[in-house]
Amino acid sequence: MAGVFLRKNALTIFMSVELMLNAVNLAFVAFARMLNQVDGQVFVFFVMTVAAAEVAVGLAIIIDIFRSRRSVDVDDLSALRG
Amino acid sequence: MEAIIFSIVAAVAVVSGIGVVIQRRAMYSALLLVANFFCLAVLYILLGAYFIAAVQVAVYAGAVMVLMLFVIMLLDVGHPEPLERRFRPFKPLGIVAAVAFLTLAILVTLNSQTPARGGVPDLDNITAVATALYTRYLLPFEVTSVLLLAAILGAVVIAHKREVKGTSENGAGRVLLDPQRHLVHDRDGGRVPEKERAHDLHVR
Repeated sequence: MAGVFLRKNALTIFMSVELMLNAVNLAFVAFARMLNQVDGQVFVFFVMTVAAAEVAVGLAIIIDIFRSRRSVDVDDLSALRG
Repeated sequence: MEAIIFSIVAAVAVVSGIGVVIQRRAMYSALLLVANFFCLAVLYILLGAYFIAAVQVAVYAGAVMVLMLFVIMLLDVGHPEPLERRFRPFKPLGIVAAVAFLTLAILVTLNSQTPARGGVPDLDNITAVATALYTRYLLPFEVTSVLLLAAILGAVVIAHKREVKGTSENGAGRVLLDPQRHLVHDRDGGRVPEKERAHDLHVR
């Protein structure tokens, strides 16, 4: 799950983030099952919503970056480096 | 039986998850991610979370991944080969799959006499989730809807092409008005093909 730090392609980083969110979701559902409560599943529902929103906004940002720089390599994005 | 399914699906999920990270090409990792999502949906079903499984397939494997693939194809980072040649070896496979699906669909449609609402297994889980969602978690639920609205607006605003920019890239001092042509021009790395340029001149 540490693919976020290793990859350079912004899209792959994004997919790794999705993967981590899914791992958390699985843990939530497993614990909800273990504790015999439904709250975990409700929380998974919220996590999914937030993930969907995050994907929409993030992909829009990636498209915008690609438009202005013609690359989605995060190493190119060093404009904020001190 | 359940244990067997669990071990197979969990193994596939782990392998595809590792594949997503290891794979060099964004397209392959996206497809592996789809496989991973489906495995997770099966795991949710095994855990008795039917509603979450359905949402997983619909939202993640459906909406999110379609969006992802769309962007990957739009940006298409560094593919030397054209798409058509790459997919040519899979053409017979695709035909076989299509025919198999069609026969299967026809057979299922013809042979299904039992009414669909016969045996819905264990609705308790879904009712429990819905009850919790609409009573105890009603406020977060509504806040979520506001969040989604904000996300929609944000995505549109960010991805929308800025029209007012002073000068355009080919130094003509005006922005190209046709979004289609602007996209082509953008993708080409700033170089406008000869035909386009002639067309531009003609337009101006």
